[in-house]
Amino acid sequence: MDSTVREAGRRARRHAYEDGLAELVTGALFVAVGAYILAQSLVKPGSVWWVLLGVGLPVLLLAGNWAAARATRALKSNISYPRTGYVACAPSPGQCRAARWLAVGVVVTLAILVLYSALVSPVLLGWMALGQGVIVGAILLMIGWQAGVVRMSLLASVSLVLGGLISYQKWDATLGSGVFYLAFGSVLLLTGAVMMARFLRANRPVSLDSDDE
Amino acid sequence: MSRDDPPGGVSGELRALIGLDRVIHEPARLVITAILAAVDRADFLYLLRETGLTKGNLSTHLAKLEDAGYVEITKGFEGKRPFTLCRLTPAGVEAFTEYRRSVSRAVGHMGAD
Repeated sequence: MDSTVREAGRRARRHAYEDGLAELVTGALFVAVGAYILAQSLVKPGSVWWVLLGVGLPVLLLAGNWAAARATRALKSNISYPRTGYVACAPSPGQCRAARWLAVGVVVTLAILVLYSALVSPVLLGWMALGQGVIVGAILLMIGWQAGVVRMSLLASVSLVLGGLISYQKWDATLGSGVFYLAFGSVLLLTGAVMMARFLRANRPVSLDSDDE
Repeated sequence: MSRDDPPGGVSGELRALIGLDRVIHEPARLVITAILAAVDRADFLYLLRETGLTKGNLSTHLAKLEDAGYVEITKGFEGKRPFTLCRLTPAGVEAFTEYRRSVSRAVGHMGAD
């Protein structure tokens, strides 16, 4: 019976990713971030615009996260919940701890990469896109493992390969990061759109007003 | 058979089946309880899809679980859409845990062959 309850929990987690909304919203955020970083790569390094765009990136990330969370909630309420219902997963203490450590790891790694890019030689900067591919891939793998969503593992592989390919081009680090987020955001938008189309085809809004007994 | 078992009677674990919580033991309610035990809360539509019950059946079983104090039901509106949120109460969690324990013990003593 334990495995039955565990499987019910996994089904509830999978339910959150059935509609492709998470990918659509995250993809849109990645495309916006990628376009922003690409714009920064076009500006002369050290110029006022370059500094301003650099300072504006954390603002874009914070505002983007806030907007993404609100958009996801609104879209789920209007599109997903009337079709397949609402379920809130019970957070297991172990998974919460792991997710918290992963988030801390991502923030610290990004901070180190950015500081390194600003202060030290650009030798490792060429591998920035690969580093981002590994971090994004790790997050996707974690989601896939928690919810049992196979396509998250495939997306993690795409993230890794994309990061590696971009790093191999030996582009400027800012350009590489911009291309990575733009390209991977587009992949997320594509898979999200496919999942959403399948979800809408398979599920019609359910009216709970009348009984069907 | 343990030392506490009466001579000629079935084992204590098997006898415990007689005292199983019948509110949870009913198959449809067992499924509902198992789903709610695995999540924080779920709405009526989610339970409807997961259990495969009809709306009337699900309503009846949820009402019985609510009467027993095992499920807390909150009704409201989100915009124009009505929602019914269900979650296991602490008493429900305890009853389900005890049920699982009793059944596991009894099944363990039955053997498969």
